Amino acid sequence: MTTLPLHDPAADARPPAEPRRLSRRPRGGDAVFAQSFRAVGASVLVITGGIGLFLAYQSVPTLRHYGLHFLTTRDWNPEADKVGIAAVLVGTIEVALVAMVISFPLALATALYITEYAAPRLRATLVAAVDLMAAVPSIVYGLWGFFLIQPHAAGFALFLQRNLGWFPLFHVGADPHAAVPDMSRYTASAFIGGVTVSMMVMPMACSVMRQVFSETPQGEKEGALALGATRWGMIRTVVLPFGKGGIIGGTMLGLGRALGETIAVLLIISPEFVIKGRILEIGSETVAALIAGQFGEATGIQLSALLTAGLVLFCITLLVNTLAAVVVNRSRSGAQTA
Amino acid sequence: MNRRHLTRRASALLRVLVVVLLSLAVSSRLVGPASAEYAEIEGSGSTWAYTIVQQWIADVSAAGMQVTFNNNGSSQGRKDFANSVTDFGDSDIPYQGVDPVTHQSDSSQRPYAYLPVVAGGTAFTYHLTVAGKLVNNLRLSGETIAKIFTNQITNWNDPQITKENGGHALPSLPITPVVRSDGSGATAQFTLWLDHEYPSIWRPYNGASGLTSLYPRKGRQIAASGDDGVMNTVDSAAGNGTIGYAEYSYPLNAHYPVVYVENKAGYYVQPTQYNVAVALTKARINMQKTLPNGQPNIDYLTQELDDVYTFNDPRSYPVSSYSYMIIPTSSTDQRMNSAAKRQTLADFLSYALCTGQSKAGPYGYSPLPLNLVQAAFGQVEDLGPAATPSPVPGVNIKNPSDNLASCDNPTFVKGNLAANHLAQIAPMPLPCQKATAQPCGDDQTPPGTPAGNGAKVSTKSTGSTTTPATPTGTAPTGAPPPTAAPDPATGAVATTATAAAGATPATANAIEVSAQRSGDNRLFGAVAVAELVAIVLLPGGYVAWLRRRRGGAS
Amino acid sequence: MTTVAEPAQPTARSQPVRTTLPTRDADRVPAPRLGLGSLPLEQRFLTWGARLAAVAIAWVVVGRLLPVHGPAWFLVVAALANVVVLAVGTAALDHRNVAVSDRVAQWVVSTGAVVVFAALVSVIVFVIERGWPALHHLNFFTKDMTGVSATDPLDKGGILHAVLGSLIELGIASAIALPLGVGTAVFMNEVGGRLATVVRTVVEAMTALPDILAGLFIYTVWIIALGFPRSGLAAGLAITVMMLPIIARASDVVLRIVPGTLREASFALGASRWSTVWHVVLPTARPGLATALILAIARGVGETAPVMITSGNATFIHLDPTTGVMTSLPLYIFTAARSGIPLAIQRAFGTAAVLLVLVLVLFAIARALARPPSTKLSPLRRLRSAARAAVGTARTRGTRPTPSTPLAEEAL
Repeated sequence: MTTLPLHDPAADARPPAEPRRLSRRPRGGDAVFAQSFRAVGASVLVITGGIGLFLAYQSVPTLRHYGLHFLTTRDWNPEADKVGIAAVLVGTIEVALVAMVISFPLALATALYITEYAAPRLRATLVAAVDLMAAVPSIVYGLWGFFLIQPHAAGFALFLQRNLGWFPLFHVGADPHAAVPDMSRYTASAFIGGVTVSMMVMPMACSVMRQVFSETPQGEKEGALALGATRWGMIRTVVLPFGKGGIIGGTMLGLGRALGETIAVLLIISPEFVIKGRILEIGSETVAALIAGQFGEATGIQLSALLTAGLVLFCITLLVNTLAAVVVNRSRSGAQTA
Repeated sequence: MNRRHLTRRASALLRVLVVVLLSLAVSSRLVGPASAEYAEIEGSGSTWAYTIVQQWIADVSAAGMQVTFNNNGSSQGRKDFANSVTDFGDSDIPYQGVDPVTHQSDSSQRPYAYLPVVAGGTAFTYHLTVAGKLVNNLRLSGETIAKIFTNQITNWNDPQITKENGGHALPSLPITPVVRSDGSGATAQFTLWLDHEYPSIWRPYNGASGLTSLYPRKGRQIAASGDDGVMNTVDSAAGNGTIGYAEYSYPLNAHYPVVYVENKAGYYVQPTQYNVAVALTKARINMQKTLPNGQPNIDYLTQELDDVYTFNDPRSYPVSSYSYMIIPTSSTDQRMNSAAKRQTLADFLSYALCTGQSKAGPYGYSPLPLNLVQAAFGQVEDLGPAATPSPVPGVNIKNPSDNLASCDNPTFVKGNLAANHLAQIAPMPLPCQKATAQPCGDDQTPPGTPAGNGAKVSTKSTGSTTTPATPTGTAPTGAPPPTAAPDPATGAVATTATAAAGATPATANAIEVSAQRSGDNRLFGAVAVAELVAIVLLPGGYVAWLRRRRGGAS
Repeated sequence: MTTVAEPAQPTARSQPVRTTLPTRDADRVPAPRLGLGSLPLEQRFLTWGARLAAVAIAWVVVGRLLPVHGPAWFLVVAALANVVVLAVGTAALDHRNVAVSDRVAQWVVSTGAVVVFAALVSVIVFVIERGWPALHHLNFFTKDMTGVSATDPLDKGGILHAVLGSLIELGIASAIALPLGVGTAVFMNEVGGRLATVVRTVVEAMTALPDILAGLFIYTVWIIALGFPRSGLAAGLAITVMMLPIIARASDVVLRIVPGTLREASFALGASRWSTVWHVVLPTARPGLATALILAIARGVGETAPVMITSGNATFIHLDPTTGVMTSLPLYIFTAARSGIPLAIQRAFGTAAVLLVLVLVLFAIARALARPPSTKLSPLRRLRSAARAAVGTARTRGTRPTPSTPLAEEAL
């Protein structure tokens, strides 16, 4: 006969169950863990945030001493105490734009090639090659640009001026049709600096674009092909719109890096504090190269001025990177990796 | 399994690396510099003096002294020393004090002393390729140089340059002056000379009077960092038409030509060790060690070069100067906190002032005369026995005043402290160096020119027999004509005063001779290309068009 | 009256039922069969034919028809000719616009990729070729530049001091940045909270810091304000400042990917938070963390700008990072390349080649660590397991070799 358990004698020995207070707060060992790692996080916040605050704080004495003329003065003459970042900001943007104009199509083409056109066996090798390009130090690219690219790029600049000199961007203050062309006018220019920087920037943009393209939904790609599209038609209608966020994001990430590049510019570009749109002509200067070149000679207030220039650069780079992140996250592709 | 194996191997590698690093760190404490009595010292400053300082550092390392020198320019050298970033500095000009216009202060709160270490000339090096050959006998007067560097003379075929080079005009090529972009003692010496000799040209350009360490770059001028940067810009492949200023050792090492500068006696000379020594016999050195009120004179041993610029000895090179080291003199100096460091600096300077001077000439500098060497040794005493406020024990200054003869300094004259043997034996310039004569030929090296890189010095002029240079339309080669015949290309009358038989000055007018008009070539070529493309592509295009017309059926 | 037509009655057994096969329609052209593997012959013919035609046209045009010379012009004309012939050829074979544009687009994309990889190859080859005169001397790797002036020949002196300096500075930077970075990532992922959001935002913002500013910050604070000398420690700190946000962000991404179910399982088994992190989360993320660290180190070893400002150049080996300047590889390259002396430039290229190889090695290690474990045994192990199995069958007749033997070996 089955008996139902009505009363468990052993249960009397145990105290009656009471509702337990649930708490999210850690206790004991967990509390130690949480507190110590919170301390680590806070210290990193202090260090990194402190740097940003320190830079921002330096702008106060700078602006007090130089006033807003700091942003409009072109020259950087520490001996006469006339310093300003108008010319270097323009130079920075010029070099970065040249780098982006060169690297954007190349990065896009490489990313498309790796994801769509390359044989599957080759894909891993090509991805490794692109990542290797990103890992090569910038001093090596600087050497390559200075010793190998500069003579050829100067010749190319001369060619551009000879044939397309009517375009204001390609104008150079030298006679392109002279019997002995004045080659020194075509070297050490923002153009050559931009070409070298583009090599550094391109693998970064390419990696982001490639990752985004590889996440394109396979079903949509196959659907386009099944409907009779050619491969390029499929890319144009499926892959590129899907990866639009990644393309823009990768480009802006590269732009951020191009703005802050120091060594290649220091090696290649001859410093000249003028605002000019003639990128093929010798002479330019970027904020990073200005800091690297002038930090030793800067007295107290001029050191603050250099830090303020760096702060301006940092803000621009930060803005570009944040926009890139926003664009990537809000796009279809980015939403999956957020 | 593979991954775990790999990570285990990687962590093992990491452990080995950590052990190695720790042992290095430990051993660094145990193994100091090579010799127990020496410690590492750091200096920074002038690129003007850097070539010889670098050689001295390499020489003393054999004795166990470890010295670092950062050639970041005289201005930064002074600043680094004042900020106690370095143990010693090297600067071509002394601390300037407070600038009356900009109120910028260039001074040092850290107690210091100057001592001259080497003399030399600021050379003007240039890159002019005419008909494939590098011009190497350019002569310029001081005024022309001033006008070039203030953008008043802008082309190499300017009549003033032509006149100074015996009437031989250079081809039309824009001049690109190369100036220093950083705070430079070379710039300071150059602009001091400009301000003194050619104020009407320099002061309007600069906008203020006096010297400057930061050259105001305007117009076509290229700015380069360091004397080595100037040299790199001039000797680069794209540097045709450039002229820059740097210490003589730089063009010497790069085997590049240097301008013959006109001195007050009307001779065009180069900054050899002899000509610099002759010029600097007129330098006024402040020999007053203590001021009347008992305070040490901080201007002790600084130089006044006014008479150097205007010295009318035919051998004198006008833009000559001394370079100085700055050493700390306080016994409580923050950086010189050990006897080992002081000893290292003292021994390094002792080497530089004694044996090191014998290297100055071959390297493109000029050695110090005896009275300055002795005064400099007196300053070195400030590191130990003469430090203020109290002497520092344990620092032995090897004062070789007993046997200065062992220093092998070519300027020493027995029995006469202030005399400079080099200045006494300095060879006279060649007749072709006189302003009224034709420029010297390619093969005529002025006497006393070093061969560069420490090779032996030649005190005689080299022989003048060479094969004639390939003429490109200038003065005739071969035996000089008995009567002065007009030069067919330039119309100038060539005097036969030059002794060079068969040597042509390498000034030429480059005339491009071409047998065909390039415009025709292009037109013909374009038409031919169009035809070729048509031949290749039209059949395919026709087929495509036919297919399209048939419409759809592929 | 309507009559319903009756279906025709089959005449029973009038003729035998026969099956007839449908005859092929004689005037219908069969549809072409598309090969799904490699390109059809005519496409490959078109590709190679266009390339050949391009080379031929360029050979004729450059230097012979047009007054332009040089390999650059040859390449440009060949490329143009290639794309034009390709376009026309595709149009001849398949006149549809989409086919032509597809082919041209393929050419454009391929050429862009070729240009990029050619540039990479040119960088590597150029650096190694220019540096080779210095590299094949053994003293280049075993000696420093004490007593050697810049114009001395290449069989004197070497870059040992730069290599050691780089290692020491990187060691300092890694020792500080790695624990802090990974700790921050653990904080952001495990502890969380509002502070974590702030930290994440700030760390992501600081990854945008230009490297020169990291150096300038350390220079202003550590060297000028606090008065410490320029030293290897200052350079190490500058590299730390630069590496810290990168490591923190990369570790954060890696730790986020660790599945939450693993953590929950660990909690359910009664482990504390710290045990979970130490025994579950970190080991799972270890390959990713190692990759992140190694990539950050590869980035740090090549940084010139922060090191240039905070340390100097010495010609001798200096092992104590707290005092005295310490050279590092990129700084040595920079200084030697700028000096203009040909021998020094060769040494600079040699050092650049060493740096490249170092980065390559680090990179290869990172990729090897990041690769997911393969279930395929290496050939050697397969042989061993097969041999063992065969021995096992011989020894214990009738007993089947257990299929778990290879797995057991994997557990070793």
